[in-house]
Amino acid sequence: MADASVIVAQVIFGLIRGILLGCVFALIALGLNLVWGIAKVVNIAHGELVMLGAYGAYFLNLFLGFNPLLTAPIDAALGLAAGLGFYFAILHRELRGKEAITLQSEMVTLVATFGLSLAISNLANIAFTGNFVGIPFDAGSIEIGFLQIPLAGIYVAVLSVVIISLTHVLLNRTYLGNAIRAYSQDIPAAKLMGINPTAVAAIGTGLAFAVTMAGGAFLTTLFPTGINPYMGALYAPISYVIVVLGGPGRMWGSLVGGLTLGIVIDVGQIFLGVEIAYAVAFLLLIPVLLLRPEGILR
Amino acid sequence: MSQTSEPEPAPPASKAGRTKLIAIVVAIVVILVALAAAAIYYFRLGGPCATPASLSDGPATVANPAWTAAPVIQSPEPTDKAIGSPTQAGTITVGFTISLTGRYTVEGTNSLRGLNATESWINTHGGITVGGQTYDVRLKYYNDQSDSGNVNQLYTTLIQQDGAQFLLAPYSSALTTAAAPIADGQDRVMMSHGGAADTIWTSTNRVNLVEVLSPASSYLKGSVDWIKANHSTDRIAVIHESDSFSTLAAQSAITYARSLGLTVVYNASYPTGTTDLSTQLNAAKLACADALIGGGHFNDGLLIMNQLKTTWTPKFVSLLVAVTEPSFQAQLQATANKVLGPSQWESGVTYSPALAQTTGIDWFGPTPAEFTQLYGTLNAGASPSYHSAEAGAALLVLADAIRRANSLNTAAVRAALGTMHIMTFFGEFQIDSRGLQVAHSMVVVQWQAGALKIVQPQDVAESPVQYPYTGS
Repeated sequence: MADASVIVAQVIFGLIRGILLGCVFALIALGLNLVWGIAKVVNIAHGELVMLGAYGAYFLNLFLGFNPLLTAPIDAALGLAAGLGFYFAILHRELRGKEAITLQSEMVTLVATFGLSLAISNLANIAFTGNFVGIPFDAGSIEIGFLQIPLAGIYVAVLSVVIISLTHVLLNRTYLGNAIRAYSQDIPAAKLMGINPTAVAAIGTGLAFAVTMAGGAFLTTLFPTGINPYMGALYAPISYVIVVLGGPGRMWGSLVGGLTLGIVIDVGQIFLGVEIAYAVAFLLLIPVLLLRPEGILR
Repeated sequence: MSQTSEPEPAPPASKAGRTKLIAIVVAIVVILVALAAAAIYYFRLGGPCATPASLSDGPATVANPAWTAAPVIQSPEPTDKAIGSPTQAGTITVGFTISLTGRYTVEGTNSLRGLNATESWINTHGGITVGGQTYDVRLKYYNDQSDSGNVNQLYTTLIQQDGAQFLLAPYSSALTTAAAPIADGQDRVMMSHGGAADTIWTSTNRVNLVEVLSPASSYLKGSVDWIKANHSTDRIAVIHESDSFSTLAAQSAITYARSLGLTVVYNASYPTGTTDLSTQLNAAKLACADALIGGGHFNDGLLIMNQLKTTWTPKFVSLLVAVTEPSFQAQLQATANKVLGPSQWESGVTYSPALAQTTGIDWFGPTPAEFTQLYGTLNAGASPSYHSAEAGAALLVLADAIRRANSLNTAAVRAALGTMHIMTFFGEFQIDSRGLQVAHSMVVVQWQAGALKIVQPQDVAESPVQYPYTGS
């Protein structure tokens, strides 16, 4: 194969791989986007939720033999419970009774989640050891011409888009979704409409944790040996970049941001190497924040 | 928001309270489930005795009737190893950090087991005699968590607080690089058993760091030699970790392959801790490579093999470090078959006192079979990997150097190491003036039907190389 055609083939594979990976990144970032958009909490512990989701899948597979794809609903249920617990244990004290979420409240919750992040990662290091583990999951692959595409990547990408779509329907076509959106836009007006702000914020936080942990479970099928207590250190910044790219509070923005980042990383590493591709992906933040701080969708 | 156009009454306080109560109960249940899972996992690993997570003392003496009954030193000059009937004077503390958690857990744990086996052998064979008095070896170590950031502080503690008189380097070139300055700064001999990057020695003027294993630049040469001799038209792809050891091993292999007239069609590196290499593996495939060499350490070796399942089936796969570990085959099962890798040592090597005598050098320590037996006795029948052997050999060489120097002084022991040319169960030991190993030689191994076989060089091969790799 000539050099030019090799590069073209590599780019095509990078694009496909980037799209598949980007869908999972989008799901993970959706969790951050929800809690950021609804409760105005910049969740520094977001990466640790991804890590817990991955470990959840790992243990369910290890002890009960679960297919990692099927662990996502269980992870999501655990995430929902953890989100409700997190809200009432930490956020509620700061947010209750507030007519608007002030900068001071944002700082308090930011520092609180930073502490939570450190606590979770260090406790995980003690409980799980720092060993890299993974799930021996081989769903096979399909060959399209010269390309060999792993089926696991396709499965998790499709499932990620389905979950993002369902979340969109929930937020736009249901009473609960309207209530959540109302709360995120104007708390006093939402209360006047009979919405219980505590319940809405708690459910929103739980929903955010649920999709994040489900995303963590999906990651285990893509990265067969990558589960470790500090894996969140990579996925948290990726999620921040995606949310900024897509625009805070915009569900479909997460998908656009995720796909953008996935493609930049996967195609970029063909020409630039892994380290520089990630650096370029993170550098995208700067022009976006300067030129389109509301995200690339608007 | 048509649904909210008619305000509904706010939920009564009791309802909100009940919701909150349910949420808290659910959260507590989740935490309990997580704790239970963590506890199960912890005890599944074997509990606190299996992998000490922080400070641990190695056993001062290890009761081992099976080994005690075995033949003692089979040296051509056995009288050199015991001086009269020396009196027991105490212990020599050998300090080190080792990776019992983190990315080097597998390599580090096996290294520690090798050290424990050698410590046991030394102490049950009269200890180390210095000035007419015998000393037992006492290992003192900390878990460095595979993090070079922990090394400096832990070695300082070992020397200043724990009284370590001699040091062993940590596992891996990265951590050895971090620890090496302490050897000179604190005036202690440090034996390197897992840091193979030549640059650890060549980029600075080190004095007290001594290498026991073959340097990184020689790791992949055996595989390249085999390709040249048997399939010289095969095109080679090199994908390697970007740490100093793997980069040096891979770049040396590329230079060597090109000098032999072989074609290298793809070369890429990836950072330590990478979790996805499918892009690089596909690129190598698209570059029409036939052979894949490279890798880095255990985790990325496993990653490469797992992702090859869905991306590419090269005809020849040779990976650094990971292949020789029994857990490589245990985790990959049939996928590991026909995968090759360089090895510093295998239990099937033929080093012996007779060979040492033929070569005209001294022999010290157990034979390979004796080391393997002792290791198995101490570790529930497990077989030593080359990481176990190289670590054990480092302690053995240090013990012989102290005995030869007849002193516990750092300069005297370092001088003795500089003049030694001996053979142990691990092979030959001789260093140049910088402390870089020059006498030890490596072998190439391949998994064949679930068993690890020495396949190169020809004079020690247990089996011919099986080619091509088929993925199962």
